[in-house]
Amino acid sequence: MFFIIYSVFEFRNYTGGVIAYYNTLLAQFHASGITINIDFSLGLTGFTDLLVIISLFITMFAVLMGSKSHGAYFYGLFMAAGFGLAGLFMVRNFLFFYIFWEVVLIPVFFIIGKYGTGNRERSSLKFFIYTHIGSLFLLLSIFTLSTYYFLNTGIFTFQIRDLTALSFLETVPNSGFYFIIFGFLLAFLIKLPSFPLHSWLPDAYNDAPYSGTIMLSGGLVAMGGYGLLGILYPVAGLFPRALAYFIILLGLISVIYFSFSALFQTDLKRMAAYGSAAEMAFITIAFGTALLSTGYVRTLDLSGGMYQIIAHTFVAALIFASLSMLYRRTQTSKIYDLGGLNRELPVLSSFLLIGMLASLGLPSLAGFIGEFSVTISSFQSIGLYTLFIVLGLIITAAFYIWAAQRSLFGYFNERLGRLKDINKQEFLILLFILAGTIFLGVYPTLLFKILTAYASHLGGLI
Amino acid sequence: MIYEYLYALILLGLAGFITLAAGIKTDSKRILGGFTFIVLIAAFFILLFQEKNYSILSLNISSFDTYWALIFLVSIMVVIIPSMNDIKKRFDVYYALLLFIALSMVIAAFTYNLIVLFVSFEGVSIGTYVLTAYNKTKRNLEASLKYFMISTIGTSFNIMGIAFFYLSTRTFNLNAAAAGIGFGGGVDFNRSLLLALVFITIGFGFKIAIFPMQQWAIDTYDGAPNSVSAFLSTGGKLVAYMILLKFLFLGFIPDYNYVFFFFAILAILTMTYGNLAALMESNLKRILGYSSIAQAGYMILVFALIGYSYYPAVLVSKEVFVRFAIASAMFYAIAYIFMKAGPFIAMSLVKSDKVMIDDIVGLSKKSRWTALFLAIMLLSLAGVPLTGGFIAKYFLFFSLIIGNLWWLAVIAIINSAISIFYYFRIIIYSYRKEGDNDFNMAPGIKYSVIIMGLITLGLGVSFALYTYLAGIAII
Repeated sequence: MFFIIYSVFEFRNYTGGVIAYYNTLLAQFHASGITINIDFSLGLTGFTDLLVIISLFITMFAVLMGSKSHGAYFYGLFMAAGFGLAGLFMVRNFLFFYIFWEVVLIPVFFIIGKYGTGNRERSSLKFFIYTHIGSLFLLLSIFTLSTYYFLNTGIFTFQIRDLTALSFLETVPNSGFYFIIFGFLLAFLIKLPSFPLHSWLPDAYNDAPYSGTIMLSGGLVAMGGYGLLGILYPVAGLFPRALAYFIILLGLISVIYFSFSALFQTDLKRMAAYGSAAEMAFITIAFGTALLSTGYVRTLDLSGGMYQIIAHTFVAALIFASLSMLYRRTQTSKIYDLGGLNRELPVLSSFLLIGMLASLGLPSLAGFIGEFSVTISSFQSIGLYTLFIVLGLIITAAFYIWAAQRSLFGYFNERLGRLKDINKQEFLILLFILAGTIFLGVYPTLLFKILTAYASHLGGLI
Repeated sequence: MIYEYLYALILLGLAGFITLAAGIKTDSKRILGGFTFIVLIAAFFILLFQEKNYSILSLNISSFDTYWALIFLVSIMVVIIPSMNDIKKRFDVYYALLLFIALSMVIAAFTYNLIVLFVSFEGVSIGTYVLTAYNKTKRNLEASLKYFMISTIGTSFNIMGIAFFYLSTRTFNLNAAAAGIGFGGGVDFNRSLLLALVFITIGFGFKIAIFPMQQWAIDTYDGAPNSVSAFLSTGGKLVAYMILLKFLFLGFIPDYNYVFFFFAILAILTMTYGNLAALMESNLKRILGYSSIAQAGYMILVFALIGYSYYPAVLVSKEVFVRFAIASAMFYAIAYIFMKAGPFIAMSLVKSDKVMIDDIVGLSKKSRWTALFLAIMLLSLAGVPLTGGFIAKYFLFFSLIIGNLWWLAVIAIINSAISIFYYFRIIIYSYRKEGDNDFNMAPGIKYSVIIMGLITLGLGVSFALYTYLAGIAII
């Protein structure tokens, strides 16, 4: 809490770039013209500061959703995952970036594998291997980058500041540079997830315990977004244009494909998983279109993408937390087994409804700001193809409305028996998340100011 | 007195005889094991603090050689306490054998003379034949017989390889050979050198369990007592690995082209075979055996790198490149000892003789910490960050990238991803709740596993060790 207040205070006059830089040399080797530096460095930008805050929030929400029967191990795993997330966003050294990137995976693997439901062991393994393959290519890219830096300067280092300097990257030969981009993009797009690399997502989301799903959808997915917008965008000026179109294409396919997949789900949890993935596709689109656009539009585009990450955390937390409480009462999340829940659970079903509306981008709720900015600003670079995004939005609206109509309203399914509405404690949790969602929806300037400062600074780098 | 450089060796040899003699009076595992442990620690510190860069007899005591000698001693230390549970009687001979093996290993680390290398390597082999059969159960004897038969074939290959090597270089000393047959050296490139390369690779490859010579290892690790399997798959392997490292670095300079292709292909085959075979196995000790074959595949990538260092395509200078490659081999060796011996020792937790993967279900319920640290060692084998195995693999892949060998790095990485399946399978099984397996929670095993897991974690943050190794990694 202290950190949040301090950082909001500190970032009032933020103008972009890395602030609060800290660096320490862990080990050094120096002989016969070679230097190996292994540093540990931390630094915050306006964007990563907000990400650290939401990683703390999401860990808190996830832990609050845990059942009392879980022991210390459960909470320890979440703390480890939260630690990994916060570290990942703060660290300014690629070696430790990779380490934190993997450190987040292991607790989440255990959370799914140990406390999940259904075919949990298979899902957790699938999740881990998918993301691990991405990470390994990320590792190779980091090595390649470092090797080229060594050829230029005679120093082995993993500092993000040095390795992403444009003056250095321009000297990297094309083949090496494409290899580097490939590794980074693969890792980040698997994490997001984007269209062809997403098949871990439905299984992992579905079989994880609800706390784990919140962690996955709010925290882990933000890693991919941070990778694209925080790590890769500053060097994106060197990207070939065809790649930008390819990324946009992936984003568009993701939006439409995930929305359609969600449309055909009969399980609320699985549907929300696909819905959350469709939301994250906006980040891919924002990244791709920002590569092509210029000036204020680019700033708006990037800020929209970043805002989407932050907003998505709250929206996903709201949906999955309500679903978790729903599941605790009804023992099912199949849409056809539910129905008319509004009669028995008026408060809980309202929260769920608001979550769904936020996810489909209703104005005055958090989801709207990011989606709106991205949609508008992508018009400059891709023109009428923006209609595909709108199509995706319409389908999203369709399945959420359908699900709400089928499960929350209409006739009550009497087989569920008498249900007890949420108690005070659960109400407070949901209210807190809801307050965040509404606040982000009606007063975006607070964060948008920081993000635009950051994004325009980024633009200056290119 | 020049013999002060041999104090560690004299100590180990004398202590071996003292242990044997003490066996007349006592068969207490605590006294004998404790004595052996103390002797090994004393030898460790003598080697650590004695002056480096000295040659005596045919021994050459440099920082590089001392490092290997030290980790060989460590590989014996880790099995002393767990073996108190595995071995049933006659501890005097057992510990004396371990001390004699330690002596042979230290000599092998220090010498560059092929005859001495051969003899000390045989000293290790003969000791381990006996250790494998030590409990005299049917499984032990079968394992030992297989091991003995195959190793003897390997020995004959070694002898022939050394003979062919002598034919072309006219010397048994590797340093002299390197000076003679290097580029611009006096002796012409001779075809018998190539034969020597093949024979020596086969001979020592049997011990490292490189792909076509691997199947004995699976059976032997499965049949031997657990702590002996732990030693065979770490110390026994590493000594052959180190000898081959010296050999390839100094002995086969004109053959660099063959060294590279030979070992690149062998490494790919070995790691792919090990990983794929482990996927289909459900005997836990055999899974670990296959995993140790896969790890050997990663480790012999370093040999390919040594051959590759003469290529013009390498991005950095040859010296830098070799430094990186050998330093990663050295780091891999120390990390490998803990992460490989640990799971083998943890197999003693299971009471049955033949350890199937179902037998480990419920370990976390029985002892949370043991399960956690076993999981850490398996994660380390899989190459997950904050463990020693990660840094080892990390710098190995780094040296591949420095050498412009992306294709090899990608193959290694895909293999590394495959290996996740079976390591994580073991972890998942050990965290399952159902099942009422009974575990043997003897403190010797339990705390060994925990301590080795802790050391694996500690190695995971010791970047300074790597930079130190990069400083001494020149033979």
